[in-house]
Amino acid sequence: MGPATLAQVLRQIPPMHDENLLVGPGTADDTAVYRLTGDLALLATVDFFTPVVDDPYLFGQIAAANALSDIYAMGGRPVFALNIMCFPDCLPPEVMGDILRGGADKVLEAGAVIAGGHTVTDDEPKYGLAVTGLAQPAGVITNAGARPGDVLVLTKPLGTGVLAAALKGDLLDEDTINQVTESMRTLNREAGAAMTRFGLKACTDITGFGLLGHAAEMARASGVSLVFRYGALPLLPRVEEMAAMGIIPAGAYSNREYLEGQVGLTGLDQARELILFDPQTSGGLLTAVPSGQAGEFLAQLHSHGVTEARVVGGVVEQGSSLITVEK
Amino acid sequence: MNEKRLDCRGLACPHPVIQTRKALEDPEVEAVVILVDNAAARENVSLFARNGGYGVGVTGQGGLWEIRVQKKDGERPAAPAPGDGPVYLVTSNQFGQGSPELGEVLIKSLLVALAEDPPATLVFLNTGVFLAVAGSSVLPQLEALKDKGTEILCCGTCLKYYRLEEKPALGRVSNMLEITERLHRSGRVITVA
Repeated sequence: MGPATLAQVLRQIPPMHDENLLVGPGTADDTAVYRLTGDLALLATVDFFTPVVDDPYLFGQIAAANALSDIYAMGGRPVFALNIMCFPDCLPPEVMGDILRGGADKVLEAGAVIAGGHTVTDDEPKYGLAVTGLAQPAGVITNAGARPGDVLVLTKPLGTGVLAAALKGDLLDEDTINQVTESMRTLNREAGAAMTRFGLKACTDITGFGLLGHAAEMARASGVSLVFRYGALPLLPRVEEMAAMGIIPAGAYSNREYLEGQVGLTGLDQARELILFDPQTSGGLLTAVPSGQAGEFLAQLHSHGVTEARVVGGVVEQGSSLITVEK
Repeated sequence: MNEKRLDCRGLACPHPVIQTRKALEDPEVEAVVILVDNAAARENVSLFARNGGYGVGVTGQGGLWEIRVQKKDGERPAAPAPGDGPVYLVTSNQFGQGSPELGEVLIKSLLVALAEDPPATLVFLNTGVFLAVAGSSVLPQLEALKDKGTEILCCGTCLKYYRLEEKPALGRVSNMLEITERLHRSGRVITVA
């Protein structure tokens, strides 16, 4: 659902208070954080969606990597997950088995277990997981911790929404398809672990609202403005070419509309501008790093296999634009 | 005026663009009018048409729009959208170094093989242009590729230099600007030398 509609609906839910609810719906963060004891907090998140690729096993892996990502974005470690599956009667049950197997393999790779699940009959398949994780309350990384002077690091290349649409239009070569699916099914575990080692304070994962949609949540929650440099952004292959051809999912337009007037963009054509709002599936982590640590942090990411991680911008004092993007 | 109408109401990305592109591939069609009912489709089709070098006009309001995409008179037909297949840059009328006789046999079998998986574009450069002019032994293979949608471009400077007829037997005379544009736009360029 688009961010504008979602915000409208959520306003009608009465505010609730619990002193142990450290992170709730108020800051549009990646997971809820609930303090269990002085040094242990529970993280909870749920995410599911319709297939982005045809291969059911691969879809299961991608959906699980995407759901687990929220836990990593908060500096936690996943402990167990519950499957959520919508499935039509008209498809063979083996397809559902393959989706669940893909999800289970990813959950195992993350060092967690599947603890149960729920299935509903529906016209179109949908799959995802509710994931529970643990963290020390002091080690929780929220989207509210960005400080002026920090640099912004993005850990995966952008463009999965554009390329998923291009894939549906049969416009992609095998090499590009492999790169985009590989990126989507890669866990953000290494990036999350590196953030914890460096004691970082601010992160969000880049998913349905696109880079700037999630960056805006971080800017708002942290009370800062963010500056990006387009030329520094890591992009999946052929994303600019496909966007220039008009292969841009509707979500990119609604994400852009929601932030109208709050984002300053200079010198970008329409296609590039929309890439900044492209809804991502299982995207990377966007984290704010104190500038003195940035070089070492990036080097560690690269040496732990997060090879596409780049410095993409910086955090500044709150200004008239929530976000500015330079060429 | 040969105009084709498409009803793309209710269709999500990428289908309106894919249908528009397919309709424009027909050389008989001079303009395509696309009916869409969502702003993303309107923007996407307009973006596709503008970046493809077509004329674009949008009319309508209130959630229903007509986009008119016009091929421009006298200009080269629109470039094939990238991503359909590789571009083969053929810089010689022989495939590989060695016996010229073998090189000619090899290039012929290459073109036969290509018909199974046609590339987006074949660019003939330097002695490569000999393959596309009258008297070439591979004209039937090129004809077959052209029928399957492969664009065939011949370097004009090369045709002139070798004093070949002004016009290639197949495909069309091109210049370095267009050729480099094809090479830059393609994700995959394969050179046959």
